[in-house]
Amino acid sequence: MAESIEIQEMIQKVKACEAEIGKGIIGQRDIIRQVLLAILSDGNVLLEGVPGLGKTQLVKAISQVLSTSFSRIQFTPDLMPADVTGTNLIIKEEGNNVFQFEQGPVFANIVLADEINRATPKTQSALLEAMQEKTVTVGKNTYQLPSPFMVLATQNPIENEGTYPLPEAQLDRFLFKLLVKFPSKAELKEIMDITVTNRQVTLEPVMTGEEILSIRSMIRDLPMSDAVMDYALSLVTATHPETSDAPEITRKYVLNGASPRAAQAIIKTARARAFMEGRYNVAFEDVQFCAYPALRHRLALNFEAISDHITADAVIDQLVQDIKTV
Amino acid sequence: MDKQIRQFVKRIRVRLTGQEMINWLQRTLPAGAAVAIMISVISLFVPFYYAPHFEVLALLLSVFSGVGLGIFHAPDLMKCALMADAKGHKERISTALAMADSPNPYAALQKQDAMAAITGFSIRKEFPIRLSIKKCIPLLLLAVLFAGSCFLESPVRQKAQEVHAVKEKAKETVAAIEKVEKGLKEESGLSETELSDLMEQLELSKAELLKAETQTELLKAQERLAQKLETASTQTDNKTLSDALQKAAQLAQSQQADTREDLIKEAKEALEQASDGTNVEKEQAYEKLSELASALGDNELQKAADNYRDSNYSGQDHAAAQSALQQAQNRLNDQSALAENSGSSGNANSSDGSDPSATASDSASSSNNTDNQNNNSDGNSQNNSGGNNSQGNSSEGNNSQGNSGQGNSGQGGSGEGNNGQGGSGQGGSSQGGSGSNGTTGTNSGTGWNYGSKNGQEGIAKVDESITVPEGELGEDENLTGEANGNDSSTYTQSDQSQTWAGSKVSYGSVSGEYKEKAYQKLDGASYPDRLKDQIRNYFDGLN
Repeated sequence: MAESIEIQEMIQKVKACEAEIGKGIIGQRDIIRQVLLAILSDGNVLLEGVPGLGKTQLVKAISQVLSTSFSRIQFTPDLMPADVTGTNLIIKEEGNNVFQFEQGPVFANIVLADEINRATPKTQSALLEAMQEKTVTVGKNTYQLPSPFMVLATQNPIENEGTYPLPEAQLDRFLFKLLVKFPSKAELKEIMDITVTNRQVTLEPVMTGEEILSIRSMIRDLPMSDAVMDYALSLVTATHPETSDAPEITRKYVLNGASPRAAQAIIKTARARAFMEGRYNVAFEDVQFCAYPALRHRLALNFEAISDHITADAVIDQLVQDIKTV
Repeated sequence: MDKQIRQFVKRIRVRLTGQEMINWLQRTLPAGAAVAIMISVISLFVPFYYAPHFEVLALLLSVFSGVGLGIFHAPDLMKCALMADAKGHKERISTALAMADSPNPYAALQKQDAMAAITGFSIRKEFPIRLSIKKCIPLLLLAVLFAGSCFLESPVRQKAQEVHAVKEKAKETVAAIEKVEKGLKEESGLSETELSDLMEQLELSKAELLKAETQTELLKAQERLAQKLETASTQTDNKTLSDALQKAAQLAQSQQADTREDLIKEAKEALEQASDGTNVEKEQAYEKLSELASALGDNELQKAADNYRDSNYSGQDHAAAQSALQQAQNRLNDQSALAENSGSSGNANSSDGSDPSATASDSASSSNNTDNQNNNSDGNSQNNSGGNNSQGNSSEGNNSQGNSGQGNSGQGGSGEGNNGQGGSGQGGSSQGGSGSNGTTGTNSGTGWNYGSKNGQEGIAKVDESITVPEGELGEDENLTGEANGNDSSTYTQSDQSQTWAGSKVSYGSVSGEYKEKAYQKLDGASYPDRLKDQIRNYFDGLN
């Protein structure tokens, strides 16, 4: 009974969070929801969109509402790994020169890695350990990152010169890849209202980091029937062209299918979505909703897909249609 | 809550199973109906008595298979729950079903959620039973076709029914034969040769019975069987065996009587229907009458039937046919009664044979005691050829030819005395007189028939001599034997009978030879079957 009350309270808090963040970020409801899903699922997010769409603002708003620390790293080609993780500095202590580790910007609850594809692979990989292990190793020492920890990386889809595209192995570590779209005219007007006037929007903290950890634990227990689990797994296996029952579109356009991390991502985030909607079970529509952001960066399309202008989302669309729920 | 959720899902399952059954029935019923129609149509052209049974079987199979496949393909509980969730309940019901007795902290909350979804869920509304009109229309058409084909009458169908009825009756008689055969094997008192001959004859009778496809053929087969059994019963010294054979003969005769009764009944019914019926029914009535007349050897009835047909089924001739039929039945009944009454009183009737005023009925019974008659006949019998019992037959008493003539026997009721064919043909033989007698009854034979011993080459008569009647040798047109070399004849008188001795030829060999030659001639001959039967009966009766 007590658990039930606690669950219901947390559901309310999550809804309140979403609403609060929505005050600071006009439009982008889907993006806010999906980012929240990722936070509650203990995952990292790759945001792809043209500059000026409020990606940084979004992350700031999230960190305010969640009462968590926030740091921003602007990735450039000359950024060094130590600039991300931190480094040992020599300091004088009691007359002696000693090394003291100075934490880098990665030591925050929410880290915004802006234009991650502009940094060198070496620097990118420094962030990878943080994303995956939630630790940073400098020299012989390993430092634990704060919990909850989440990396929101951004990349610009139009600037390709001087960039280092993330390899598939690194992409696979992102729970979601979200496509930030240009706001509508009405939304743009509202944005102008907030940003170019004296009107101030103050966001109130709704949740704490501990509550986020608690919610994550609750979400893991959310019931998911075998039929829904099977459905999620069927979607992932359908992305592999080498399987005997792969759909037509997969065999035609997909070079490599999604890894088991995709299945983990879908299942975790589907649970989180059901939780956010106030349901106590996962539905097929939760799986379908989470399939897009979880799979689109994990499908390697072949040249035929490129030449036919087939995107990953189009492939996922067809898979969702082909695979029956009942 | 778990129980309620489960029961709710079960109710959905029942409904979905019903829908599945309907879906499958919509596929299997047309197939079954098509097969039934095919069988029905085939039965219009090919005799197949069990066609309706197979049609019903095809339909039943299609129903059962539809129901069975429907049940087999029915969705399980989880699938039913998912189908219920698909109506907008976001897998609440299926998850609650899966979480029965689960310790999950969400279980209570989730089930409450599911119960809220179940409340107000109308199973009938959400899962209506659907009948595909597209599939129902062909089914209706097939049903109409099937009904139509069932009610179509065809001669082939009628024939199939008749053949079946005949076969069923034949089986009863065959069962009786088998009983007799069993008795014979256990203890017969006959020699090995005699036993094997008798068994062979019985087997032939069985084969003949089983081959019969019309009432007429059955009747004839039964008659021949009765004759054989009668003859065999007189030839054995073993009283038990004789009684058993006699009983079997009586059974065969009673079955024969039943067959005749059936024929008469069918003819009557056909005539009644024909009185206000269509031309087809009138034609059927004619066929029934004709068949009956052929079976009974009743020329009067045949004539009446032919007149009925030739007059284009006029009312007058219809009445005449009915009257002829009634008379035929009366004659049969009289013979049966007479035979029952005369029964073993054959001896008493011997004197009747000599009574010129003997009536047909008397003569009939007397004719039964052929052997006795022969010896007991008085002078009058001399007028009859060879003093044969057939004398008794001549109701006129003076019919020297023993031609039976009309009085004859009322035996076969044919009363036509057709010639001394012992037949008065078939009828004659089975008539009551014979039946009750246990002796020669079956045959009465007119002319010089002693009563048939079908298949038995006159064993008992082997010692008998063909005597030369008064007059010169060779003058009697009825005698074909050769005189001995002396060309002379003598006669002696005895106390009991007058016989002429002299030119003697063994009766057994002569009749046997005649019979053999006759049968050889018949095989392969192109005579009508009816005539062939008459000829065979005649020669069988020679013994």
